[in-house]
Amino acid sequence: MKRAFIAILAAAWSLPASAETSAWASAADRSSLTFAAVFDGVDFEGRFETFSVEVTADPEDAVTAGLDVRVTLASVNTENEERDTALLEAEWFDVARHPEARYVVKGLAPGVTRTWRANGELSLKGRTAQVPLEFDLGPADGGVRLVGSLVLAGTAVVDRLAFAVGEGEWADPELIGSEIQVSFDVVLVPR
Amino acid sequence: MTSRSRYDRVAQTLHWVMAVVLGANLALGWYAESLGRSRRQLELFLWHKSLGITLLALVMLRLGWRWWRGAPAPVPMPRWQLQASRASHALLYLLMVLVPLAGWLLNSAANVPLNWFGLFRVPDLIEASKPARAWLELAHYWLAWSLAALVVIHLLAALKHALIDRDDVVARMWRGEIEP
Repeated sequence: MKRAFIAILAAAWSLPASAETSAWASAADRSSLTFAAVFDGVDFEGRFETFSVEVTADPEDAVTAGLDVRVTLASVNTENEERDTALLEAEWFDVARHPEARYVVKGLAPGVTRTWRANGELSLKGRTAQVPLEFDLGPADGGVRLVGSLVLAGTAVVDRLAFAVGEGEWADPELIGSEIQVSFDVVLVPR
Repeated sequence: MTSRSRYDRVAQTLHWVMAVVLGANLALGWYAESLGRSRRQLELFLWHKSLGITLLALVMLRLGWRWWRGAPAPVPMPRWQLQASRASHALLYLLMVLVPLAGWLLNSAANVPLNWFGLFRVPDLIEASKPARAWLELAHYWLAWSLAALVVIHLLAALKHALIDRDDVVARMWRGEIEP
């Protein structure tokens, strides 16, 4: 009896919340996902051409926001054919076995360098670990309420070695740095 | 022999340092190219590129020195040999500039960062480009082989002068001290 009462209470409490939740999806042609790494002491940059971001949030309260990012790893582009081909192989992304990376955020906290901070879970090459994210999220036309198109922009640092990206002779961070600086600039449209 | 019949010590030093580094770098490029993609190949190419940039700087220094100080008068020899010598030396200088320059352009087109012996970033000469890269790969390769062939001719000609003609051609670039 007591358990049923709690269940009803929980359902009653969650219903209006879900009713108020809005959803957005990234506009591919207005979004970018780039990264910078250090090779032999010098920065080089790359990007993922194919990725998607889905956001759900209570328009009145961004803290409730959830992010779901999916990255097609084979779309990596560093403007160098050998490097891009090598990145697909087993020692790097191993796209044959793990074609997609996924990053999931449930709930935000106030950020330090940006408006928001989230401790999402990154799944990459069969491994999952928390990766903190600092970002801004707001309506494209300014304001506070999350209505209409949104802009999501920020950065994260991914330790490639935590995900075995670059194994064996490529694991040495002296040649290719372990810290990968990831940046994203995403336009989200209501679904 | 007078001092005017020899290259000075700076010219001699530049010649012999370049001879060693250039020979080593041709071999290094050829060897690294023959390896499969691996960390070893990547690291050998890093050395190859740093040495190549060094050679480009050295040849510019050498051309500047030669322009400023001039070359000693030629050793008497048949007219055709003199002409062949002038042509091959001009071509050697040209290739010593073009081979590393094509390599530098190739590295830029391939969008690979270049850090000279890990000490400073060498700027890119051109934007990353697939067609330019393919073209420059061919250019660097064939210019390098032409340079290698010319170096062999240069060596054979020097040996001929030393062993067959027994003239002072090699001595002009060999002995440090000026004989009275």
